[in-house]
Amino acid sequence: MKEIGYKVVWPLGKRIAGPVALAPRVANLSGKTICELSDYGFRAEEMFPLIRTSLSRRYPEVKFIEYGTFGNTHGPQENEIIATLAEQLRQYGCDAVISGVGG
Amino acid sequence: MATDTFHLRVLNPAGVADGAPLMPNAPRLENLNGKKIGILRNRVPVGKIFYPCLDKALKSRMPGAEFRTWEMSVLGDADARAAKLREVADNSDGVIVAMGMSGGSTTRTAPDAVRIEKSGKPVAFIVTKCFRSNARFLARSEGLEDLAVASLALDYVPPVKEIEELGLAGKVADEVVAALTQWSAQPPEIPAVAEASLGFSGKDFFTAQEEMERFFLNHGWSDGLPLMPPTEKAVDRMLEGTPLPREHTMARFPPGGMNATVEKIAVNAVMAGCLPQHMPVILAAVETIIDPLFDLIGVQCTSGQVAPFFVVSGKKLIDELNINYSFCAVGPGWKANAAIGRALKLIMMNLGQTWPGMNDMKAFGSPFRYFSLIGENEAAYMGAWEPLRVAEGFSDDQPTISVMPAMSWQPDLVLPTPPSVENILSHISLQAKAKYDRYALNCIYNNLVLISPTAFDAIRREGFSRKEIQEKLYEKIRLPGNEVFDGRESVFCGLPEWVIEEHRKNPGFPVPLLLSPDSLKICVTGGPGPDMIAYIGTWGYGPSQFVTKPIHIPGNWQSLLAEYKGWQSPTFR
Repeated sequence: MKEIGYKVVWPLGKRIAGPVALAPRVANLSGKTICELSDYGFRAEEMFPLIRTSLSRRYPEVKFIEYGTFGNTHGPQENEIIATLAEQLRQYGCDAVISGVGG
Repeated sequence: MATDTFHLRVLNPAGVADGAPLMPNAPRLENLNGKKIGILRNRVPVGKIFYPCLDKALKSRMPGAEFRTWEMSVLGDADARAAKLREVADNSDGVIVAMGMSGGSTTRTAPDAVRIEKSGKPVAFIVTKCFRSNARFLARSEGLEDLAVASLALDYVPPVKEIEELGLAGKVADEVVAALTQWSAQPPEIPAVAEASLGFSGKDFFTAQEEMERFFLNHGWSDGLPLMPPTEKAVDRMLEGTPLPREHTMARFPPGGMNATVEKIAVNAVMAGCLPQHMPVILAAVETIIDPLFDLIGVQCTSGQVAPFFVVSGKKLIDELNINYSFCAVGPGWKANAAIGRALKLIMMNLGQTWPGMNDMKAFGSPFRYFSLIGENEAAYMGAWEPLRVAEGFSDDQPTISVMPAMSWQPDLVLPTPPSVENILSHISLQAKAKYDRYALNCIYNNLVLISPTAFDAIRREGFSRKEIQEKLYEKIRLPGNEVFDGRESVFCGLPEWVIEEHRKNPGFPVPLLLSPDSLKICVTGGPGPDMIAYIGTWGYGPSQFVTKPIHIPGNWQSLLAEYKGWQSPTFR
């Protein structure tokens, strides 16, 4: 019996961005500056203070730049905020970022 | 020169007429002098504008005729309706039936015109322009050769000033005179394709299939998406999913009145991409929509944006068929949801013989008319509530399918989180009130609420039963009487008498927008995450209700599942 075969074209899009390596982790949070970024949703106003308190207890020297400094990263000004974010993080001497909340 | 080498033979997906000859129209009147002309009016809202203009025009065009007017609601008790039609016919030489100005009014009123014409009295049926085809189609499906239609030159009834300026009523009156005196039946606008099977050829499978799809689309047998060819072999395979004989007729499908045989259902299931093990669900779903409580003819032909929305309840069956009840349950991505849902819409089109603009008169239509089928997320109840099938009176081990006449889709995020039950009820109630339609009377039929597992968890934690939530919502989903009635009388015919009495005594009385607590159906479905609810408001322009039927599992079930396996969508958790 004759077998019929058809070749098809792969339907997925090509990945255009190359893989980006993760930034080096911070060895210890003591004395480091942590910037907060928030979408202002899913109880961010409750969660960030809890995280701050908890980390400060463990790392008394840690410094936080609170999310209000940067504005809502998921709001109507999202594009403008993201465009200047890298520069802002540099200005504040950021060592690490906590971004949230995904809910 | 290229020659065709691939031949595709497929079964005709359209319903089959029962073969009874159409009844010829009644003889027309020689003239109207001294004749008794009955005018049978329905109570469509624009009647207040148009009927007085029409009366004036008719009297001027037929000075020697004697007129008598009867009124009848678009909906009503069948026996009382038949008696009135007999009275009209017995007391008239010719009858003017008015009027079709929407999918619903045309569909409900044209059969009245047909019954009078069948009794031997010539009828002129008045419609606005875009409902001519619908009226004539309905007449044929009711067994009459044709219907004499007198139509307004516009698709709608304009204000009186415009009717007068354009002489619209006079033109309708001229057509009425012609319809009663000189008219003769015309052939149908779309001739039926009688062949039981059809052949298509091409240089390979794809070109032959393309020919098939083009033909199916040209004949109104397609939803516009690619169709699987319903070859005899594929249909035979589909029929493995039911013990019912292929020639078994499940219903005369409205509005076309075609016989919905099990074979024709299987043909459409193949076209939709179903598997044989989907047949028990499809057949049960067909039972739900042909139940008179669902008012299928209304759903098919209305101008309202209604679509059947199906809910499967039965964890074992849902798992066996891989019906999605989690993330994106409403779509897309799951074969069972998409293919079964799509099959039902093709069945409605092809066995009901509906087509947009011919007799499916929805102004916008609905994305749910491509497909809409979900599973109930039974695990999310965590034993706190009985599943939907049990709430609807079935045993726990009996899988069911329910159909909801869905007019609206109103998802909402419940905030703040975690929500209290009170928050959840407030969000549901806001959506219910937003959908409330003073004309549609959606308060007197069923509405459906979907609750996400996370939102349900708040209800579970606070310990409320299904019945208690329904009762709380019944109390909460209310509007002040002044707002509900808004000076309109039409709403009065649909509300319970005690509500109307209360309103008369106290116009500010908060009117419940649900008939009873259990008229609001609740189902937990969807994926976890934020607390979501979705209110699915009813159609309401006709007496269509939530209907649940058992899904009968055939004896060869396990072998079906084993033979046609491997159609699982990826699940990421």
